Amino acid sequence: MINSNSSLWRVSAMVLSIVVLAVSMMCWLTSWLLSQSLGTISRAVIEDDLGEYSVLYEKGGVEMIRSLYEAGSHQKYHVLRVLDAKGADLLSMQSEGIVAQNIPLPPVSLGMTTWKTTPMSNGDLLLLGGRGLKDGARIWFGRTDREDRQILSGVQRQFFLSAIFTAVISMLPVLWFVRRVLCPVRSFIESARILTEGDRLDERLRGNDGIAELREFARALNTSLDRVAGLTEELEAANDQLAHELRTPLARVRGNIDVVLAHYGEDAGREAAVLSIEEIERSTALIQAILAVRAGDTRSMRLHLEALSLKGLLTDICELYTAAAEQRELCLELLVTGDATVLVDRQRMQQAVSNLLDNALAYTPPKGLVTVLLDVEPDHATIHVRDTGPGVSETDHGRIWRRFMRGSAASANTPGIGLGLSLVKAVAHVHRGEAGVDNQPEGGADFWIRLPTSLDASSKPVPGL
Amino acid sequence: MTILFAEDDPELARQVLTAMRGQGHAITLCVSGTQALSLALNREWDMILMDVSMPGMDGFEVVKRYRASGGVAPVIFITARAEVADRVAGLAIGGDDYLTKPFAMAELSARVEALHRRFKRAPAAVPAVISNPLLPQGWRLDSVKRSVTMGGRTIELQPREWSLLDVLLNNEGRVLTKSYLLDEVWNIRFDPGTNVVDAAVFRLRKKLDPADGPSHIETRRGEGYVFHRHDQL
Repeated sequence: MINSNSSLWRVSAMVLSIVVLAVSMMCWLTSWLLSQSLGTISRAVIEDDLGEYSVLYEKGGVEMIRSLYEAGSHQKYHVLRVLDAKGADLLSMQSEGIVAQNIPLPPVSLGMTTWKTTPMSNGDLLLLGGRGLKDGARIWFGRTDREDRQILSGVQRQFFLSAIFTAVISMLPVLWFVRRVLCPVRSFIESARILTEGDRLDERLRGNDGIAELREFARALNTSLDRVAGLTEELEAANDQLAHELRTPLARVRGNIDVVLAHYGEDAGREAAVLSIEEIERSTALIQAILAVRAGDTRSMRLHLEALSLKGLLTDICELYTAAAEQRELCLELLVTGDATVLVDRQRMQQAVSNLLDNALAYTPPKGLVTVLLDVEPDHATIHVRDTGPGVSETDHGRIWRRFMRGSAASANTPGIGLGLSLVKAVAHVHRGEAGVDNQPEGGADFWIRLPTSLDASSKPVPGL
Repeated sequence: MTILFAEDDPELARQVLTAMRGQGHAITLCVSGTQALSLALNREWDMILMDVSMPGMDGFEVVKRYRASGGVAPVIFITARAEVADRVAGLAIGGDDYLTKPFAMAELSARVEALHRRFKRAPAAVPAVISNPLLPQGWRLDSVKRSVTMGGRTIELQPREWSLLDVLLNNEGRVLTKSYLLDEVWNIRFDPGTNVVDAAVFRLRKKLDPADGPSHIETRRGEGYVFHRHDQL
C-alpha cells in the first residue's frame, strides 16, 4: 500500500511541477517582453510630446504648453518643467506624489532629447526627457512607470489564475492513472498476497477497470494460474486416489504377515514379521496424514462437530501422554485458566494437540518440562504446548509448517515424517482458527492453536457438515 | 457365531475367512452389495461385517435398507475411507462399529467379540464394577476407589489405568491391538506418533506385577497386548 501510494504522490508531484515550471517560464518571458515594449512606447510618447511642446512654445510661448498639458490627461504619473535661459521657472506641472522641484534635471541640447531615469520615493521610476528650446529655454517632460507596472501585474495575475486552472486540469490524467492503473495494480498485489500467504488458491487477478494492457496481463496470468491449478488438482486427485487405493493392498499384506507371525516358530522370522507390521503401520499413518492435510488445505476436511469443553479435551489428551512423558523423564503439566466450550471435531483437535505433544516429547531433553496451557479470552481460546527443548530457529519458523519439512533440530532418530505440523495447521484452519509458534524468552518452543469461541452458526467452522 | 461378510477384495476376504473360521465362527462371504442385502435378510446372523466400497450397492446403502427392513444383527463397517465423517455416516445409518483398512486380524476379532458381548447383554444394565469371574486369584477390585487389592497390598489406579485394566481383564487371554486399546480406553481413533499405549501399559504393569513371577500383561510385538491370569497365592 505504501509503495503504490508513493507512486501516486510521485506522479502528482511531477505533473504539478511541470505545470508550475512551464507557466512560470511563460509568465517571466511575457513580462520581460512586455516591459521592454512598454519602455519603448513610453520613450516614444515622451519624445512625441516634447516635440509638440517645442513647436507650441515657438508659436505661443509657455501658455500654449500649459493649455495643451492641461487638456491632456496628465493628472497622474507625469511631470513637466520649463526653465528660461537663466534658469528661472517658467512652468512647473506635477502630478500628485511628485514634487517637480526635487527632481534632478539632466542637461539638454537643442533639437535632441536627453534622457534620465530617476527612482522616486514611492518606488516608481521616473523617465525624464529634456530638450533645448529656441530662445535658450529648456523643457523637461517625464512619466513614471506606475501605469506600465499595473499593466504588467495585471498580465501576471492572469497568468497566475490560468496556472491554477491548468494545474487542476492536469490532475485529470493523474486521476485517470489512479483509476485505470494504480487501482488495478493494487488489486493485483492484494491477489498475489492472498495466493502467496493465504490458504486460497482460487484467487485470481481482477483488472476489469484497468487499461487494456493491464486487462490483457490479468487475463494471461489468470489463464496460466488456472492451468497450474488444474494440473495441481489432477495431481492431487491422483495422489488421493493412490493413497486410498494403497489401503487395500496394505490390508492384504498385513493380513498375511499376521498369519506368519501367528504360525512361524523361529525368532528371526517372527522379528521380520514384526518389523514388516511396524512398517505397514507407519505407511498407514503416512497415508492418513497426507489425506488429512490435503483435506485441510482444500477445506474439504469433513468434520464431526460437537460443542466440547476444551479443558476436558486437553485433560484427556494429557492423561494419554502422562505415562509416555514419565518414561522420557519429562514432566507433563496441564495449566488451565478457565474453560471454553467450542464447536470442534474432537478426534481432529485431539490429533492436532497430540502432534504438538509428539514433537514436545521428541525434542525436549530428559528432566525437561512440557506444559499444556489453555488460555481463554473473551472471543477466542488458545491451546499452548510449551517445552524446554531447543526452541525453533529463525530459519525454521516458516518452513516447519510445510509438508515433509522438518526442523533443523530433528535428527535421524527423531520420529516423524514432517507432516505433523501441517496437520496441526490444517486442523486449526478448518476450525476457523490459527496455529503458530513462538520461542519463549526463557528458552524452548511455544506452539499454539487459537480457536474462536463463539458458538453461533455464523462461525460454524466448516461449510460441508 | 454366524457371521455374514461382504467384501469384494478376494485376498482380504480369504484372510478374514481363514482367521474367523480358525476361531470357530461360521462365516459366509458375499462379494457385492445386492448379494449382501438379500443374504442378510434371508437368514439370521449374529454379526455382519460390511465393506463400504463395493460394486453395485455400497455398504452404507446395504445397511440402510437392511435396517429399514427390520434387520437387527450388529454391523461392523470395514472402510478404506478413514475420514471421520464417513465413520459417523456409517454409524448414523445403523452400523455399530467400524474398522479402517489396513487392520490387524486380532483387532477385527477383538471388535467382533466385544460387539457380540455388548449386543447380547445390551438390555441389562452394564455393571459398573469389573466383575470378571476370571480375576487372578487373590485379586479384589474396588471400583469406587479404583483400587486393586492383592496379597495384602492395595494399589490405587488412575481413571485411565482403571479403564485399561477393565478392557484387559474383559479380554483375558486375547491379543488386544494398540489401536483397539486407544479406542476403548482413550476414545481415540488415530495413531499418535508417541508410544503412548506402550508407556501406559508399562506403567500399569509396574504397578500390578508381582515382585517375582511372570508379568500379567504380555507385550507381543507387532500384535498387541495380552492379559494373563497367573494365579497368585
